[in-house]
Amino acid sequence: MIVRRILTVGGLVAVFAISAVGPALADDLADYLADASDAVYSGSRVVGTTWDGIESIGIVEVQHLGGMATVDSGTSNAIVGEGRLRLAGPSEAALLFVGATQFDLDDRYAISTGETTEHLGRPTRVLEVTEAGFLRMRLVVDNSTSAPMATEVYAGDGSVFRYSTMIQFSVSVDPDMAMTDEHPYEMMLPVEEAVLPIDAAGYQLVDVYAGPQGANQAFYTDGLFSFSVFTTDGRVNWETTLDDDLPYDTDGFSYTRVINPASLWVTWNAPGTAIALVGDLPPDHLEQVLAELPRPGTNGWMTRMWNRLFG
Amino acid sequence: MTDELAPTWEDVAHRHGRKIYNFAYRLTGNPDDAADLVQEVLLRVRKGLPSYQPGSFEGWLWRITRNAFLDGIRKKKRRPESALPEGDHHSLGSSPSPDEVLSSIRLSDDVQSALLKLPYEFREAVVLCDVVGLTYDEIAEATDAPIGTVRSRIHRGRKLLRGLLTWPI
Amino acid sequence: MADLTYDPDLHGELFSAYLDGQLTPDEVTIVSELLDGDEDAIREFVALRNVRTSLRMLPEFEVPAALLPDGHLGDRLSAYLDGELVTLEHRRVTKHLVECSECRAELQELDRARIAVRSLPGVETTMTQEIAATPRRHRRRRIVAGGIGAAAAAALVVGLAVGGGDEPVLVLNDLATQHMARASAEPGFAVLPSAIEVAAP
Repeated sequence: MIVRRILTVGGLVAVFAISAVGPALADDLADYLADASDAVYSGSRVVGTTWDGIESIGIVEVQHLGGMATVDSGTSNAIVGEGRLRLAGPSEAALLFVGATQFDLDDRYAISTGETTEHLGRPTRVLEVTEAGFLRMRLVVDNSTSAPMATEVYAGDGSVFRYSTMIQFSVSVDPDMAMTDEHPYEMMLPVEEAVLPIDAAGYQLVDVYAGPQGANQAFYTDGLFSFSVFTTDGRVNWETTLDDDLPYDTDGFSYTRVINPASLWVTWNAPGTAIALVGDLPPDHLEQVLAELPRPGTNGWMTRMWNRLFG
Repeated sequence: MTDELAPTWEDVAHRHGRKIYNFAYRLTGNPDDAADLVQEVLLRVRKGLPSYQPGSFEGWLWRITRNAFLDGIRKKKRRPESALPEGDHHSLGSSPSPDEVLSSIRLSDDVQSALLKLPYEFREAVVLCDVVGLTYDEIAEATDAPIGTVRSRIHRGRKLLRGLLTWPI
Repeated sequence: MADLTYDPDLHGELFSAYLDGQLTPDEVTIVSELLDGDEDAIREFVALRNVRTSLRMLPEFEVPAALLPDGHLGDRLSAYLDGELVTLEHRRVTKHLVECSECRAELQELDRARIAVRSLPGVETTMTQEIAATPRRHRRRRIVAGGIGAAAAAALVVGLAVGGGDEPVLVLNDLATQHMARASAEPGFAVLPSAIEVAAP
């Protein structure tokens, strides 16, 4: 995968022209997402994120069939879908989140259909996802397969935060793509524990898992975007095989972030706990979420009190 | 597993049914015989549970299983068949090519037919060790044989299999 | 130390027992000595190991369901795997699974059987038909609010891998993988782009 971090001046040019939306049928977003989940297609996709002028881009080969997708970055490939993932490459993993059900879409999202366009020679239509009136996401959807040909997610100021676009597209898929070997999956079972808030800025805490890495994973979603908050006891040396963590300051607090083409990673140490947040949520949502999670800080009197009561 | 409180026969069925089935399957190569054995064993477990003395549960269970199996053989008065089953779930390697798929299927069939050529004591010892996963102690208890004999049978069974299986080692 | 020469009739059994972890420490030493540089011994050892592995890798078959009584979990495991249990039942089954390793193994088997069915080659058409027939799941699940909260719950103490320094090390990429796996169960997965954030070695 080609991953470049570029400090750019000015915003990113939109992948496709933003045009006025004509009168439209209001499709149900949940229905569209279900259709997209059933889409059968394969191809190459450019994925990128721009955040505070820093850009991170990658290209992946994808296949999509029956709710499962293969994502191939060249060095690694994964088969993922429906709570199951198998990763091969420099890192390996086989995880199954047992009984994970689809979460209801938050009320704040609505969808409307825009004009008919074309992408890679195929008839497509534009779908716009609004969040309480604000245009949050735009999709260019292939008419015959419902595949997302191009997507744009906007940050709070209307700039493009994340985008994807198919640069090669085919309706044929290797029928063996979902084939996996006998290697058993690590079963991730939810645990009954929540030290984190049950809801945060419109996202709901759905489940907490005890992960194989020794950190608990609290999974939040609003039905569209999602993120996981990993917490451990005590301080931790967050390591990444990518050496590009950057400072991130918001609301007077200091965090560390890594900007990836399809997700963002934020880490910090709160009193007595090390926290990492991984997800695809837009940056303005992130800021609101961080405000509701434990803030960065060192051991203070609150922690000593806490330890005395519960330690 | 020693000194366990006696489970219900439903527990036995759910927790050990698969092993019992596969034990019989690997010994006979025959799914019908395997199914018959599971039923028979569960019946005997049901009858025997009231008088079960807490001790080594695995040993007790596998003694029952083995006796039921041998009784079944005697009743049928025929040698176990070497017929290969239909409808196998076969292990497949990751991203196999069609050739690889075929060869891994052959491998498991090869092992099964080789197993069936072994003399009974060796076949049983190898199946109890490598298919069922019992320890030497448990096998000794189940087969009413000294540990040294168990060890020797397992080894000779494997040696014979090695001779029968023709892939390069 | 006596110089041992490998004798298949005498020592073969030791190799088998060694592979099964049934040797005393003294016997283990003997095996190490025998294997030290002796090609015949090594060849025999490897051959035995391969036979043993082939046996252990034989597929395990499911017991025909008709033979099993309706168990405490039985048919509920399938529904659990598909996320069809209501919250209370789901929690009960989860609690049981956390304690019962055999049922976890059964869950894994069930899961494997599902994959096997899904991945049969040449069933592209059938699969898409099957997909169309599957009812859409729109079910909300969340941790029950009562009784759980920051103040009430004691944090789980979990073991951490310790790295070179004083502090434990957690690899973010692996956590990202974990997140992606879980997020793939949500509707947004179909449209939000995915990528694998792993640098080349």
